[in-house]
Amino acid sequence: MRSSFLAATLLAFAAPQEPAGPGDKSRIDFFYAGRFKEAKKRAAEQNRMLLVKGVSVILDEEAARDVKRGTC
Amino acid sequence: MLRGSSFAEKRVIDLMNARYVSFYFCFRKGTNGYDEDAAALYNESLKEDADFKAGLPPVVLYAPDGLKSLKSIPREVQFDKDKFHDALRDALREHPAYDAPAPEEKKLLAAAEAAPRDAAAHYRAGEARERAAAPAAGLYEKAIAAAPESEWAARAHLRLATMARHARAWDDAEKRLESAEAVNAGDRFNFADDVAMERAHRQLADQKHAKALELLDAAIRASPASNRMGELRFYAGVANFFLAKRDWAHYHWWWVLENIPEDHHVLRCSVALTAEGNCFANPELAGFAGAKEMTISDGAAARDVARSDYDRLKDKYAP
Repeated sequence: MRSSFLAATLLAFAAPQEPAGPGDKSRIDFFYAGRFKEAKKRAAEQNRMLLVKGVSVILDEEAARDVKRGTC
Repeated sequence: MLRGSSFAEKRVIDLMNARYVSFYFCFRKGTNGYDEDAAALYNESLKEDADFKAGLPPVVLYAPDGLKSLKSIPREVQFDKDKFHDALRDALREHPAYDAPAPEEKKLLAAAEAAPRDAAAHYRAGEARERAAAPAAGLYEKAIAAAPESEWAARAHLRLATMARHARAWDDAEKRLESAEAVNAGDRFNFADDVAMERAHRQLADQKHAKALELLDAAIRASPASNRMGELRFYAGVANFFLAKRDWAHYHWWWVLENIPEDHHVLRCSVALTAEGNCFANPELAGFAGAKEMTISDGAAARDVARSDYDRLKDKYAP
């Protein structure tokens, strides 16, 4: 969907809302290293399955940045 | 590879955020990203797993208390975005106790239930269900029936087209796209880029790369602010790759890195542009693996080539 600030503003309550482009910043809300206990607590609170992915080495820059940042 | 394939896929991202709590770490002690608490559980539960021993362990789904392993998703499934999505969906159906709608989703479903003639309410509820890999088609159909000439109806047709594409029901997908276009006369709702991307997926699946590229090039030029620009550019790169125009593939992939670095296709592009120096079969490039072995310097060299192609071609891609 092409984004248009004016159109988006005018139609905010009248039309489907797509993320503004260009691009889409959707991200998996990962918990990263150092926050496993927090992840377990969240899973228990929300009654969700805990999905765990381990890797042998973190090669890509984005993953390394995410891990360092510890964000989720 | 996983972060460049399944973890970069929108519907996988949506499903994991809607129904799972996800944790990512390095399981080898002493390395960047190691987590002792996670390793105590994960490494122990996988100690007999062949892929774990080989360094490419499965995704493991645990019960909410984090103690009992419920399902393991092996690497051959992890790297295929559609199989991975379906494995996550199936795990929810196998364990319905952990598949309940979140509070916001419940609100949207209740709003639709309370207003049977409200197209918007049904569309929004449909979106929420679709994100959770739950049945959504009926809600989209109700949105269409409630206001057949509205943008809600047009977008509901689009969502149904995408769902048909995921099911490889290509003729159904095309019919839905035609219905969406009929409501979107003159592109009054600004989604010609969505229609082009959906049609290009079919051409790519049929290995009609030139036709796919034609659709993608036109959409990239016509819709520079598309929220699907990462997807359009990634698949323009894929089409060029199979048309033996690797420099143009590099151009599109590096464009994503350079211009929309927070798009969820960045890792997918980053992995693809090192394909020639990568020993892992890339599922996004029909299993292409350009090298028998891989070193960090090979990967860096491949990136340098891609960057150089981007710099050489960026002013030649006419807007």
